Amino acid sequence: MKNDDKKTKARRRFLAGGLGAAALGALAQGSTAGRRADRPVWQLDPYLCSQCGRCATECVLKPSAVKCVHAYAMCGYCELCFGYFLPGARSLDESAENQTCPTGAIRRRFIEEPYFEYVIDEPLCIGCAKCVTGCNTFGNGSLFLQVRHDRCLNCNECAIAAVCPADAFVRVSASRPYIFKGENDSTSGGLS
Amino acid sequence: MDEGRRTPAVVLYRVLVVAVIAGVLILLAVLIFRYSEGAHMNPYEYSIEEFMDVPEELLLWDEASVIELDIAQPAGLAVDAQDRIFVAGAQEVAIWNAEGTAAGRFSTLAPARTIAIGPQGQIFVASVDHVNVYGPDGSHESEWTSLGEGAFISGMAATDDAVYLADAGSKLIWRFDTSGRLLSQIGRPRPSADYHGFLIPSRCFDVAAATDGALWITNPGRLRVEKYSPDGSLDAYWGEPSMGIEGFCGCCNPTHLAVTRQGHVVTSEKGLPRVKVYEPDGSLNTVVAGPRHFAPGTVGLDLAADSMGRVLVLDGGAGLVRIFVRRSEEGKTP
Repeated sequence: MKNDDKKTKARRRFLAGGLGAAALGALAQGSTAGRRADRPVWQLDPYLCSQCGRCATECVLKPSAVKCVHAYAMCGYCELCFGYFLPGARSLDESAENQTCPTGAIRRRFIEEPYFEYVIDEPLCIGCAKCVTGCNTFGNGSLFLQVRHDRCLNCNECAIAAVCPADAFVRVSASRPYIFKGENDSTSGGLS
Repeated sequence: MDEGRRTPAVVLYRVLVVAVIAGVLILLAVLIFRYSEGAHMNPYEYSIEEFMDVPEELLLWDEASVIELDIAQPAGLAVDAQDRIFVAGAQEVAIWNAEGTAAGRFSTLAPARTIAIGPQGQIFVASVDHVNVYGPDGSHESEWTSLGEGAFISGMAATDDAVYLADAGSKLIWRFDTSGRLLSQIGRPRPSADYHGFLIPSRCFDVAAATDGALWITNPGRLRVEKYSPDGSLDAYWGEPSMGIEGFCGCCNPTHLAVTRQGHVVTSEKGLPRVKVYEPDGSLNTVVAGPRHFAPGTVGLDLAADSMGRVLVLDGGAGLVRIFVRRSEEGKTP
C-alpha cells in the first residue's frame, strides 16, 4: 500500500512538473512567435519609390528580392498598357522588342474585348521598375515594387536602402510586411 | 648630400609615396562618384525623352499670362459668358475677371471635382457623386441627388436647357435639366447596334458642349473624341493611338476637353502632358503647349475657352491657371 502511494505521488510530481514545463515551453514559444511577428522587416513604400533601378542592381541577391506586384483592382486592363509596351512600340504584339520588361516577366492575356490582363512572372522579375514607371506615367499606377519576404534575407543594413535616393525603404512589422497600393486609397485611378 | 638623395632607395621611396597618394586620390574619386546623386546611371531607365519635343511650326500659341491660385486642391475650371474665370477646389470657388483680377470667392458644401456655369449665371459645382448649385452671388440654391455609390463625376458641361455630367464610375453621361431633374443617359452600351459605350480605364472622362448644341465627349480607353447629339446619338468620332503629336498616347487620353466658340476642340493629355487644338473633323490644328511646358508627372489639365479665343489651362500641380493666346499671322501675340 505504501509503495502504491509513493508511486502515485511520484507520478503526480512528474505530471505536475511535466505540465509546468510544457506550459513554460508554450509560453516561451508564444513569446518567440510574438517577437517574430513584431520583428521589423524591410519594405519599399510604393508612394515614395522613384523607380531609380537600384533595387535591381544593389540587392545582395541576384535576382533581387524586390519584385513588381500588381494591384488588379486599380488596373484598367487596357489593350495599350504602357507598363507592358514600350512607348513608341512598333506594333501591339508580344514581340520582345515591343515590351517594356527587359526580362519578359509580364504575361499578357486577352480577357474580353477590349480588355487584357497583365500578370507578373515573379521568378523572371528583377525589380528594375521599368514597367512601374510606364504604368505610373501613362496608366493608373497599379504596378509597383515590393520586397518579397520569401526571398529577402532581411539584412541589418539593406544594400538597397543604403543607396535609395527616395528614402523609400522603411522598416515595417513582420505581421504586416507589405505596403499595398489601392487599400483605402482615394488617389487610385490615375488622375486624383 | 645631393648624391645621397639620388640613391635607388630614395627614388623607390618617392615613387611609392607618389603611388600611394595617387591611389588614395583615385579611391576618393571613385567613392565620390559612386555615392553622388547624379552618378547613378539607371540601366533600366524608361525614357520618353524622344517624344517631349513638338514641331515648332505647330506651336502657335503663347502663354500670355497666368493666374496664381490660392485655393486648396484646385480641380475644376470654367469661364462664363463674360469671360470671368472660375476655379473650384476643396473648399471654395474663386473667381477672376477676364484680366485676371480677383473678383470674388465663396465656400462650397463639398470638395469640388469640376465646375460649369449655366446660362443664367448659376454655378454648378460637382463633387464625387452629386451637384450643388449656387447663385451668381455664391449663395447655395440646391443640392441634387447622388448618382450612386459607384459614381465619380470628373467632367461637366452646361447648356441653355441641360447639364451634362461625365461619370467615370458608371461610364455614362448623365443629362439633367437645370433644375436637377434627370432627363436621360448617354453611353449605355447597345451591342446589338454595335455601340459599346465609353471605355474608362481611369478617372478621366470629360464632356464639353459646343455653341451649336453638339456634345463632345472623351472616350479615353479608345484614345478618341466622340461627338453626340443631345439625344445621345453618336454622330462622329476621331482620334488614334500615337505617341506622335497628332494622336493620343497612353492608356487613357485625352483627359479633358473644351470647345471654342469657333467650334475647335481643345484637348489635354496626361503622361505626355500636352494641350492641342483639333478641327471638328479631327485633323490637328495647332499645339497650345507641349510636354516641356509642364512639370513631369503633370495630370488633370482642365480646360476652358473664352469668347476672345483664348485657351485656359488649369495646372493644379503648379497652382496656376495658364492663359494661352494664339499668335497672329505675323507671328506675334496680339
